[in-house]
Amino acid sequence: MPPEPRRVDGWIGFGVLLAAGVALPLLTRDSYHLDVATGILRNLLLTMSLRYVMSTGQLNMAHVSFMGIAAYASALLVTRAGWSFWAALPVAPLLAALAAVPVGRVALRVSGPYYFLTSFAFLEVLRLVFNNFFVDYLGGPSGLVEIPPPHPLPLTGGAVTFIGKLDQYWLMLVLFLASAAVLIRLECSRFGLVNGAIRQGELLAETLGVDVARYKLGAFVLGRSSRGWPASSSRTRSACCTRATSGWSRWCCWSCSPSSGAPAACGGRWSGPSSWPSPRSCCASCTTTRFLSTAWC
Amino acid sequence: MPIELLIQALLNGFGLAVVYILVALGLTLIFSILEVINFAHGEFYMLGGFATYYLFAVGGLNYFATLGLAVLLVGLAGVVAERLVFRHLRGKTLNAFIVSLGLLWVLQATAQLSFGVLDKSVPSPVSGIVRAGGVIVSRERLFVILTAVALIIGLYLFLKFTRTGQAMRAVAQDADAAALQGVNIELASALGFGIGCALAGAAGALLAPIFSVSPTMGALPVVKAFIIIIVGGMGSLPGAVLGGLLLGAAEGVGTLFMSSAAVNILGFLMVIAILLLRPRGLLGAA
Repeated sequence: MPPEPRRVDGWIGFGVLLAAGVALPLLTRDSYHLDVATGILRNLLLTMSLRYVMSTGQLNMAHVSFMGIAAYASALLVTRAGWSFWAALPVAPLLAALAAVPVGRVALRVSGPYYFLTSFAFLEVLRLVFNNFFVDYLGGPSGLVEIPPPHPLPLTGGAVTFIGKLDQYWLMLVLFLASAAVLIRLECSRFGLVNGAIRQGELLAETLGVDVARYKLGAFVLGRSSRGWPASSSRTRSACCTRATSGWSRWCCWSCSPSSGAPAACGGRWSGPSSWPSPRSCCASCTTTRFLSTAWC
Repeated sequence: MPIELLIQALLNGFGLAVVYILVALGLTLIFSILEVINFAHGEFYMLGGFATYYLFAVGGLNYFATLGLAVLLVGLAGVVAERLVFRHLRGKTLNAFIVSLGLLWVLQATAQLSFGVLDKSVPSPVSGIVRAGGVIVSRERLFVILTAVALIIGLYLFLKFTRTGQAMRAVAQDADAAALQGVNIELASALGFGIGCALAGAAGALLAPIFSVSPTMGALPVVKAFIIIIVGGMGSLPGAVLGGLLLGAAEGVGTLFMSSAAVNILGFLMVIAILLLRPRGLLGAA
């Protein structure tokens, strides 16, 4: 069993973030502040998903590709299949997870720098596919545009529309807190502990009877599916989905705290260079992630 | 398919591949000595291109002197980068990767601020074409291929037969054992990094007259170099050459049958196939 005080620390950290998240709209309704806060939450969400993958000690560059898969899947389901945003929201991560299974099976045959470079190769393949193939469906270099905003939240009588910054902030906060709760629970579970053991000593874990390949694949797929949440939910902000979604350039600020095992995702260019996150948003994201990673388990 | 067409396609593929081999050799040399995956390697290629532009196109210096100076300058930049940054990260692959990514952005942004964002063209130092049967190759490309091959052979001879080269190979095999034998590891690392970057600079200087020069020009060669070293096996110099030739052949022949986008994917599919069949690469150590 994990040491109880650390788990308590994790939930205290969660409580602090919950309180801060709820308090922010009470302190400011400025759309810029809310937009920055939404961006920070999205980046935190992305970082948490990367943490799943890195929990077995594998640095992965293809992570953004799965964000691209989920974003495109969500956008295509809404624009082509006529799905509601709310139906596409949970399906997109599942599709990303499905895509992750064969990729993980191939990529996890190697480890260390080879794994890292393999994931880079996959990222580039996907970027090239998004950019050059199925242009009628994927939009080519321009990406998918004119994606309709989410339908008003059911059961609210059309009061919550997700067109305003405040509604988008609440949506991202709910997704972030739900994912954080799952991550805390997962890190303290047998799955999380075994992944930690693999990270510390893969050979030792294997000699103790751990099915390392299975756990690695599990972390790989789980990280990919959780990556889909921010991808599909972020479309509420931009109504656009470009191949930059899966660009490796996003890796630039992903790694503010690599030694703590919690690189911070600061990807941005969702609908063009103008929407790159500000340095302030980036730093806030990194700092908060570091706090989270040291706080729980 | 006419045999001339196939040879022409292969020649076109190899023409670029030998230059990418130079970049890949630099990458794999740095990795084998410092255990660092230098993501900023393409930026040293870019520096080689800009050195050529300013010395040859703007300054009017002789192209061959420019080539030598570009290699020297980029090599020195590599030594400085090793001394200031990468020396402290030996063996820390993840940290070094993150730092190299930061260096990539710093160098690229500095180039954009200093040289501008627009592409710059470099005039061709040699003109004309060479015909052999039905195969045509420009003298410019031929010069690039021959120079790149000469540099590859030169690197091989240096590493194989000189004391410094042997010391560098010893550090690559086992740094601690090499230190016990009296090898100056810091010097070997600095030299290895400098030579690796110089090779990238040479590649940039060679291709500058063929392609335009821009701050982001390093992205494609470094991606190709990664493909080459995965296929050939990380840390293996013969592997990098073999991987480069295979990539060149695949891309050269591929252009006959498919679009350029599909050809670009071909290299990555090669990577996946190699990893499935031989995860350590064709000539990589176990």
